[in-house]
Amino acid sequence: MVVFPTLTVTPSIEGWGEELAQDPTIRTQLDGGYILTRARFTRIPKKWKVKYGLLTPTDKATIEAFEIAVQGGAGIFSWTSPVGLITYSVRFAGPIMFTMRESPNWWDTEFILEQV
Amino acid sequence: MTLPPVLKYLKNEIASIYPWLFLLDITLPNSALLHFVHNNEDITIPTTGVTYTKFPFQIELPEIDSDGNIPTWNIRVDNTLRIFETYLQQTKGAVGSEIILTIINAQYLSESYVDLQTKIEILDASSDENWVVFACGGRNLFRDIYPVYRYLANHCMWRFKWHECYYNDPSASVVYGDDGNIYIGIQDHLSAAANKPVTGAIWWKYWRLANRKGISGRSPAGRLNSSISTWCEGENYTAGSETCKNTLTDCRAKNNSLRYGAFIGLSQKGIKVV
Repeated sequence: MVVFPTLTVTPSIEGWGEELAQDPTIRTQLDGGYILTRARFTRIPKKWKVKYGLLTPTDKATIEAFEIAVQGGAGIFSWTSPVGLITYSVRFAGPIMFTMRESPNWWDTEFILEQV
Repeated sequence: MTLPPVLKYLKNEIASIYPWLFLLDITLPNSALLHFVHNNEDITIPTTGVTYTKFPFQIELPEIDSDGNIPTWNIRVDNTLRIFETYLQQTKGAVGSEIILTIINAQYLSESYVDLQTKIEILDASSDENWVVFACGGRNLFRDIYPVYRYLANHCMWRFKWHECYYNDPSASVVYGDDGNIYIGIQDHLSAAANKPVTGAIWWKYWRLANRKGISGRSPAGRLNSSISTWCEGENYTAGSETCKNTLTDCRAKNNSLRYGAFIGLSQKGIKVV
Protein backbone atom coordinates (compact mmCIF):
# COMPACT_ATOMS: atom_id res chain seq x y z
CA MET A 1 0.00 0.00 0.00
CA VAL A 2 1.15 3.55 -0.73
CA VAL A 3 2.45 5.45 2.30
CA PHE A 4 1.80 9.11 3.05
CA PRO A 5 5.06 11.03 2.37
CA THR A 6 7.31 12.28 5.16
CA LEU A 7 7.53 16.07 5.21
CA THR A 8 10.07 18.42 6.75
CA VAL A 9 7.46 19.73 9.20
CA THR A 10 5.04 17.98 11.53
CA PRO A 11 1.28 18.70 11.57
CA SER A 12 0.11 21.73 13.53
CA ILE A 13 -1.39 21.15 16.94
CA GLU A 14 -3.69 24.06 16.26
CA GLY A 15 -6.52 22.95 13.99
CA TRP A 16 -5.92 19.20 14.53
CA GLY A 17 -9.23 17.38 14.88
CA GLU A 18 -10.49 13.81 15.33
CA GLU A 19 -14.01 12.39 15.24
CA LEU A 20 -16.01 9.38 14.10
CA ALA A 21 -16.30 9.18 10.32
CA GLN A 22 -20.03 8.59 10.59
CA ASP A 23 -22.64 8.44 13.31
CA PRO A 24 -23.03 4.71 14.06
CA THR A 25 -26.37 5.14 15.82
CA ILE A 26 -29.84 4.08 14.76
CA ARG A 27 -32.16 6.40 16.69
CA THR A 28 -35.93 6.01 16.90
CA GLN A 29 -38.13 8.57 18.61
CA LEU A 30 -41.08 6.80 20.23
CA ASP A 31 -44.50 8.19 21.09
CA GLY A 32 -43.87 7.57 24.77
CA GLY A 33 -41.33 10.39 24.73
CA TYR A 34 -38.25 8.25 24.96
CA ILE A 35 -35.70 7.37 22.34
CA LEU A 36 -34.64 3.89 21.33
CA THR A 37 -31.02 3.57 20.21
CA ARG A 38 -29.07 0.78 18.58
CA ALA A 39 -25.64 0.46 17.01
CA ARG A 40 -25.72 0.15 13.24
CA PHE A 41 -22.43 -1.67 12.58
CA THR A 42 -19.73 -3.45 14.55
CA ARG A 43 -16.83 -1.28 13.40
CA ILE A 44 -16.60 2.48 13.84
CA PRO A 45 -14.15 4.21 11.48
CA LYS A 46 -12.59 7.58 12.42
CA LYS A 47 -11.61 10.68 10.53
CA TRP A 48 -8.93 13.28 11.13
CA LYS A 49 -8.61 16.93 10.23
CA VAL A 50 -4.91 17.41 9.54
CA LYS A 51 -3.34 20.83 9.24
CA TYR A 52 0.21 21.75 8.27
CA GLY A 53 1.60 25.27 8.66
CA LEU A 54 4.60 26.91 6.97
CA LEU A 55 5.22 24.29 4.31
CA THR A 56 8.07 24.89 1.91
CA PRO A 57 7.32 24.77 -1.82
CA THR A 58 9.09 21.37 -1.90
CA ASP A 59 6.74 19.97 0.77
CA LYS A 60 3.77 21.45 -1.05
CA ALA A 61 4.89 19.81 -4.29
CA THR A 62 5.34 16.48 -2.46
CA ILE A 63 1.77 16.59 -1.12
CA GLU A 64 0.38 17.65 -4.49
CA ALA A 65 2.20 14.81 -6.23
CA PHE A 66 0.91 12.36 -3.64
CA GLU A 67 -2.66 13.59 -4.04
CA ILE A 68 -2.41 13.00 -7.78
CA ALA A 69 -0.75 9.61 -7.25
CA VAL A 70 -3.72 8.38 -5.17
CA GLN A 71 -6.22 10.04 -7.52
CA GLY A 72 -7.60 12.37 -4.84
CA GLY A 73 -10.04 10.48 -2.67
CA ALA A 74 -10.02 7.33 -4.81
CA GLY A 75 -6.92 5.60 -3.51
CA ILE A 76 -6.22 4.10 -0.12
CA PHE A 77 -2.93 4.75 1.62
CA SER A 78 -1.18 4.09 4.87
CA TRP A 79 -0.85 6.99 7.28
CA THR A 80 0.68 7.14 10.75
CA SER A 81 -1.09 9.45 13.14
CA PRO A 82 1.33 11.66 15.09
CA VAL A 83 -0.98 11.12 18.07
CA GLY A 84 -0.03 7.69 19.40
CA LEU A 85 1.94 6.77 16.26
CA ILE A 86 -0.72 4.30 15.14
CA THR A 87 -0.85 3.44 11.44
CA TYR A 88 -4.22 3.50 9.71
CA SER A 89 -5.50 2.76 6.20
CA VAL A 90 -7.08 6.02 5.08
CA ARG A 91 -8.22 8.02 2.06
CA PHE A 92 -8.69 11.73 1.44
CA ALA A 93 -12.25 12.83 2.24
CA GLY A 94 -11.96 15.76 -0.17
CA PRO A 95 -9.51 17.83 -2.21
CA ILE A 96 -6.52 19.32 -0.41
CA MET A 97 -6.59 23.09 0.10
CA PHE A 98 -3.34 25.10 0.06
CA THR A 99 -3.23 28.68 1.33
CA MET A 100 -0.33 31.03 0.68
CA ARG A 101 1.27 32.55 3.78
CA GLU A 102 2.56 36.06 2.80
CA SER A 103 4.86 34.82 0.02
CA PRO A 104 5.01 31.86 -2.36
CA ASN A 105 7.75 30.39 -0.18
CA TRP A 106 5.40 29.49 2.67
CA TRP A 107 2.15 27.56 2.48
CA ASP A 108 -0.49 26.32 4.86
CA THR A 109 -2.60 23.30 4.05
CA GLU A 110 -5.39 21.27 5.58
CA PHE A 111 -7.18 18.10 4.57
CA ILE A 112 -9.44 15.47 6.07
CA LEU A 113 -8.47 11.80 6.19
CA GLU A 114 -11.07 9.11 6.76
CA GLN A 115 -10.38 5.58 7.87
CA VAL A 116 -11.17 2.90 5.33
CA MET B 1 -41.37 -17.15 19.08
CA THR B 2 -38.95 -18.71 21.52
CA LEU B 3 -35.86 -16.57 21.51
CA PRO B 4 -33.00 -17.41 23.86
CA PRO B 5 -33.32 -15.27 27.03
CA VAL B 6 -30.27 -13.16 26.27
CA LEU B 7 -31.62 -12.20 22.85
CA LYS B 8 -35.02 -11.43 24.31
CA TYR B 9 -33.29 -9.12 26.78
CA LEU B 10 -31.27 -7.42 24.03
CA LYS B 11 -34.36 -7.01 21.87
CA ASN B 12 -36.19 -5.20 24.65
CA GLU B 13 -33.33 -2.96 25.74
CA ILE B 14 -33.91 0.75 25.29
CA ALA B 15 -30.31 1.27 24.23
CA SER B 16 -27.85 -1.30 23.02
CA ILE B 17 -24.27 -1.03 21.82
CA TYR B 18 -24.44 -4.41 20.05
CA PRO B 19 -25.83 -4.13 16.51
CA TRP B 20 -28.35 -6.50 14.98
CA LEU B 21 -27.07 -7.64 11.62
CA PHE B 22 -28.70 -9.15 8.56
CA LEU B 23 -27.05 -12.26 7.13
CA LEU B 24 -27.76 -13.66 3.69
CA ASP B 25 -26.97 -17.26 2.71
CA ILE B 26 -27.54 -17.48 -1.02
CA THR B 27 -27.52 -20.85 -2.78
CA LEU B 28 -27.36 -20.25 -6.53
CA PRO B 29 -28.88 -22.73 -9.00
CA ASN B 30 -25.38 -24.02 -9.77
CA SER B 31 -25.00 -24.85 -6.04
CA ALA B 32 -22.50 -22.03 -5.40
CA LEU B 33 -22.90 -20.65 -1.88
CA LEU B 34 -22.57 -16.96 -1.03
CA HIS B 35 -22.53 -15.56 2.50
CA PHE B 36 -23.03 -11.84 3.04
CA VAL B 37 -23.47 -9.63 6.08
CA HIS B 38 -24.82 -6.09 6.13
CA ASN B 39 -21.95 -4.67 8.10
CA ASN B 40 -18.67 -2.80 7.69
CA GLU B 41 -16.51 -5.80 8.62
CA ASP B 42 -16.66 -9.55 8.04
CA ILE B 43 -18.35 -11.75 10.64
CA THR B 44 -17.45 -15.36 11.42
CA ILE B 45 -20.01 -17.51 13.19
CA PRO B 46 -18.06 -19.57 15.75
CA THR B 47 -20.44 -22.53 15.78
CA THR B 48 -20.43 -23.13 12.02
CA GLY B 49 -17.11 -21.50 11.08
CA VAL B 50 -18.82 -19.73 8.18
CA THR B 51 -17.44 -16.27 7.38
CA TYR B 52 -19.95 -13.74 6.14
CA THR B 53 -18.41 -11.13 3.85
CA LYS B 54 -19.27 -7.47 4.39
CA PHE B 55 -21.38 -6.46 1.43
CA PRO B 56 -23.81 -3.62 0.79
CA PHE B 57 -27.41 -4.75 0.43
CA GLN B 58 -30.82 -3.45 1.42
CA ILE B 59 -33.92 -5.39 2.32
CA GLU B 60 -37.40 -4.07 1.66
CA LEU B 61 -39.75 -5.90 3.97
CA PRO B 62 -42.83 -7.38 2.28
CA GLU B 63 -46.27 -5.87 2.34
CA ILE B 64 -48.81 -8.33 3.64
CA ASP B 65 -52.46 -7.67 2.91
CA SER B 66 -55.74 -9.54 2.85
CA ASP B 67 -56.13 -9.55 -0.95
CA GLY B 68 -54.42 -12.88 -1.39
CA ASN B 69 -51.28 -11.35 -2.86
CA ILE B 70 -48.14 -13.35 -2.36
CA PRO B 71 -45.77 -11.24 -0.20
CA THR B 72 -42.62 -10.23 -2.06
CA TRP B 73 -39.32 -9.27 -0.49
CA ASN B 74 -37.10 -7.01 -2.57
CA ILE B 75 -33.45 -7.50 -1.81
CA ARG B 76 -31.23 -4.85 -3.38
CA VAL B 77 -27.61 -5.89 -3.68
CA ASP B 78 -24.85 -3.45 -4.61
CA ASN B 79 -23.86 -3.68 -8.28
CA THR B 80 -21.36 -0.85 -8.59
CA LEU B 81 -18.48 -3.33 -8.86
CA ARG B 82 -20.52 -5.71 -11.09
CA ILE B 83 -19.76 -8.60 -8.73
CA PHE B 84 -23.24 -10.07 -9.08
CA GLU B 85 -23.56 -9.42 -12.80
CA THR B 86 -21.44 -12.49 -13.61
CA TYR B 87 -23.59 -14.72 -11.43
CA LEU B 88 -26.73 -13.32 -13.04
CA GLN B 89 -25.40 -14.11 -16.50
CA GLN B 90 -24.29 -17.60 -15.53
CA THR B 91 -27.47 -18.61 -13.74
CA LYS B 92 -30.19 -16.92 -15.81
CA GLY B 93 -30.87 -14.20 -13.26
CA ALA B 94 -30.33 -16.60 -10.33
CA VAL B 95 -34.06 -17.30 -10.44
CA GLY B 96 -34.87 -20.25 -8.23
CA SER B 97 -31.96 -19.58 -5.87
CA GLU B 98 -32.65 -20.06 -2.21
CA ILE B 99 -31.91 -17.26 0.24
CA ILE B 100 -31.81 -17.75 3.98
CA LEU B 101 -32.17 -14.42 5.73
CA THR B 102 -31.05 -14.38 9.36
CA ILE B 103 -31.02 -11.57 11.86
CA ILE B 104 -28.28 -11.95 14.46
CA ASN B 105 -26.83 -9.95 17.30
CA ALA B 106 -23.14 -9.17 16.79
CA GLN B 107 -22.24 -9.87 20.40
CA TYR B 108 -23.96 -13.27 20.70
CA LEU B 109 -23.06 -15.07 17.50
CA SER B 110 -23.31 -18.55 19.00
CA GLU B 111 -26.94 -18.25 20.12
CA SER B 112 -29.75 -20.05 18.34
CA TYR B 113 -31.29 -17.85 15.66
CA VAL B 114 -33.72 -20.39 14.24
CA ASP B 115 -36.68 -18.14 15.03
CA LEU B 116 -35.07 -15.21 13.29
CA GLN B 117 -34.54 -17.03 10.01
CA THR B 118 -36.61 -16.76 6.86
CA LYS B 119 -36.17 -18.94 3.84
CA ILE B 120 -37.15 -17.28 0.57
CA GLU B 121 -36.62 -17.94 -3.11
CA ILE B 122 -35.57 -15.58 -5.90
CA LEU B 123 -38.55 -15.17 -8.20
CA ASP B 124 -37.26 -12.42 -10.44
CA ALA B 125 -34.07 -10.39 -10.89
CA SER B 126 -33.20 -7.09 -12.52
CA SER B 127 -30.09 -4.95 -12.48
CA ASP B 128 -28.89 -1.45 -13.25
CA GLU B 129 -25.59 0.31 -12.72
CA ASN B 130 -26.14 0.67 -8.98
CA TRP B 131 -28.23 -2.23 -7.74
CA VAL B 132 -29.22 -5.78 -8.49
CA VAL B 133 -32.79 -6.17 -7.31
CA PHE B 134 -33.99 -9.65 -6.39
CA ALA B 135 -37.74 -10.03 -6.01
CA CYS B 136 -38.04 -12.88 -3.54
CA GLY B 137 -40.89 -14.78 -2.02
CA GLY B 138 -42.26 -18.13 -1.10
CA ARG B 139 -43.40 -20.77 -3.53
CA ASN B 140 -45.86 -19.34 -6.03
CA LEU B 141 -48.91 -21.61 -5.95
CA PHE B 142 -49.94 -20.42 -9.41
CA ARG B 143 -46.82 -22.07 -10.81
CA ASP B 144 -47.69 -25.46 -9.36
CA ILE B 145 -49.05 -28.08 -11.69
CA TYR B 146 -52.59 -29.01 -10.75
CA PRO B 147 -53.86 -31.67 -11.06
CA VAL B 148 -50.51 -33.28 -10.40
CA TYR B 149 -50.80 -35.73 -13.27
CA ARG B 150 -52.01 -34.74 -16.70
CA TYR B 151 -53.49 -37.54 -18.72
CA LEU B 152 -52.45 -36.78 -22.26
CA ALA B 153 -52.49 -39.17 -25.18
CA ASN B 154 -49.09 -38.60 -26.71
CA HIS B 155 -47.19 -36.17 -24.52
CA CYS B 156 -45.14 -37.68 -21.70
CA MET B 157 -45.65 -35.95 -18.35
CA TRP B 158 -42.32 -36.97 -16.84
CA ARG B 159 -39.37 -34.64 -16.74
CA PHE B 160 -36.78 -36.02 -19.15
CA LYS B 161 -34.01 -38.06 -17.41
CA TRP B 162 -35.47 -37.44 -13.97
CA HIS B 163 -36.55 -40.04 -11.47
CA GLU B 164 -39.79 -41.14 -13.15
CA CYS B 165 -38.38 -41.09 -16.69
CA TYR B 166 -35.28 -43.04 -15.61
CA TYR B 167 -33.60 -42.73 -19.00
CA ASN B 168 -29.80 -42.83 -18.90
CA ASP B 169 -28.34 -40.19 -21.17
CA PRO B 170 -25.03 -41.70 -22.38
CA SER B 171 -23.42 -38.23 -22.32
CA ALA B 172 -24.41 -37.52 -18.70
CA SER B 173 -21.94 -37.68 -15.80
CA VAL B 174 -21.89 -40.95 -13.89
CA VAL B 175 -20.31 -41.30 -10.46
CA TYR B 176 -20.17 -43.63 -7.51
CA GLY B 177 -22.08 -42.18 -4.56
CA ASP B 178 -20.81 -42.65 -1.04
CA ASP B 179 -23.18 -45.60 -0.58
CA GLY B 180 -21.38 -47.50 -3.37
CA ASN B 181 -24.23 -47.15 -5.87
CA ILE B 182 -23.93 -45.57 -9.30
CA TYR B 183 -25.60 -42.20 -9.80
CA ILE B 184 -26.25 -40.32 -13.02
CA GLY B 185 -26.49 -36.53 -13.37
CA ILE B 186 -29.93 -35.10 -14.07
CA GLN B 187 -29.01 -31.43 -13.86
CA ASP B 188 -25.84 -29.55 -14.88
CA HIS B 189 -24.11 -28.26 -11.77
CA LEU B 190 -20.89 -27.48 -9.95
CA SER B 191 -20.53 -30.12 -7.28
CA ALA B 192 -20.62 -29.07 -3.63
CA ALA B 193 -21.20 -30.88 -0.33
CA ALA B 194 -24.95 -30.18 -0.50
CA ASN B 195 -25.37 -32.17 -3.72
CA LYS B 196 -23.17 -35.14 -2.91
CA PRO B 197 -24.99 -38.41 -3.51
CA VAL B 198 -26.36 -39.49 -1.13
CA THR B 199 -25.31 -37.63 2.01
CA GLY B 200 -25.86 -34.12 0.60
CA ALA B 201 -29.01 -32.34 1.72
CA ILE B 202 -30.36 -31.77 -1.82
CA TRP B 203 -28.51 -34.44 -3.82
CA TRP B 204 -31.71 -35.74 -5.41
CA LYS B 205 -32.11 -32.51 -7.40
CA TYR B 206 -28.86 -33.28 -9.23
CA TRP B 207 -28.49 -37.06 -9.24
CA ARG B 208 -30.56 -40.20 -9.40
CA LEU B 209 -29.72 -43.85 -9.24
CA ALA B 210 -28.50 -44.93 -12.64
CA ASN B 211 -30.65 -47.28 -14.64
CA ARG B 212 -28.48 -50.37 -14.50
CA LYS B 213 -29.78 -51.52 -17.87
CA GLY B 214 -27.20 -49.39 -19.65
CA ILE B 215 -24.43 -49.11 -17.10
CA SER B 216 -22.31 -51.86 -15.73
CA GLY B 217 -21.05 -50.95 -12.28
CA ARG B 218 -18.90 -53.97 -11.63
CA SER B 219 -16.81 -56.23 -13.80
CA PRO B 220 -17.58 -59.98 -13.73
CA ALA B 221 -14.81 -60.30 -11.16
CA GLY B 222 -16.75 -57.96 -8.89
CA ARG B 223 -14.41 -55.00 -9.15
CA LEU B 224 -15.69 -51.46 -9.55
CA ASN B 225 -15.86 -50.25 -13.12
CA SER B 226 -12.78 -48.07 -13.60
CA SER B 227 -14.50 -45.80 -16.16
CA ILE B 228 -16.84 -44.55 -13.41
CA SER B 229 -15.20 -42.12 -11.05
CA THR B 230 -15.99 -41.39 -7.44
CA TRP B 231 -17.85 -38.15 -6.74
CA CYS B 232 -15.54 -35.13 -6.20
CA GLU B 233 -16.25 -31.63 -4.96
CA GLY B 234 -15.72 -28.68 -7.34
CA GLU B 235 -16.36 -30.66 -10.54
CA ASN B 236 -18.68 -29.57 -13.33
CA TYR B 237 -21.10 -32.45 -13.72
CA THR B 238 -23.55 -32.59 -16.60
CA ALA B 239 -26.96 -34.06 -17.27
CA GLY B 240 -25.95 -34.77 -20.85
CA SER B 241 -27.01 -33.22 -24.12
CA GLU B 242 -29.86 -35.45 -25.28
CA THR B 243 -33.32 -33.98 -25.61
CA CYS B 244 -36.78 -35.53 -25.70
CA LYS B 245 -39.83 -34.74 -27.81
CA ASN B 246 -42.12 -36.35 -25.22
CA THR B 247 -43.70 -38.56 -27.89
CA LEU B 248 -44.05 -42.33 -27.82
CA THR B 249 -42.05 -42.61 -31.03
CA ASP B 250 -39.15 -40.74 -29.45
CA CYS B 251 -39.43 -42.80 -26.27
CA ARG B 252 -39.34 -46.03 -28.26
CA ALA B 253 -36.30 -44.79 -30.16
CA LYS B 254 -34.60 -44.39 -26.78
CA ASN B 255 -35.72 -47.88 -25.75
CA ASN B 256 -37.48 -46.43 -22.70
CA SER B 257 -41.16 -46.79 -23.63
CA LEU B 258 -41.81 -49.05 -20.63
CA ARG B 259 -41.78 -45.85 -18.57
CA TYR B 260 -43.62 -43.67 -21.06
CA GLY B 261 -45.66 -41.13 -19.09
CA ALA B 262 -48.67 -40.65 -21.38
CA PHE B 263 -51.81 -42.65 -22.17
CA ILE B 264 -51.78 -43.58 -25.79
CA GLY B 265 -55.28 -45.09 -25.64
CA LEU B 266 -56.87 -41.71 -24.91
CA SER B 267 -58.27 -39.57 -27.67
CA GLN B 268 -55.55 -37.34 -29.04
CA LYS B 269 -57.89 -34.35 -29.29
CA GLY B 270 -58.32 -31.94 -26.39
CA ILE B 271 -57.39 -32.36 -22.73
CA LYS B 272 -59.08 -34.67 -20.25
CA VAL B 273 -58.84 -34.08 -16.53
CA VAL B 274 -59.51 -37.31 -14.67
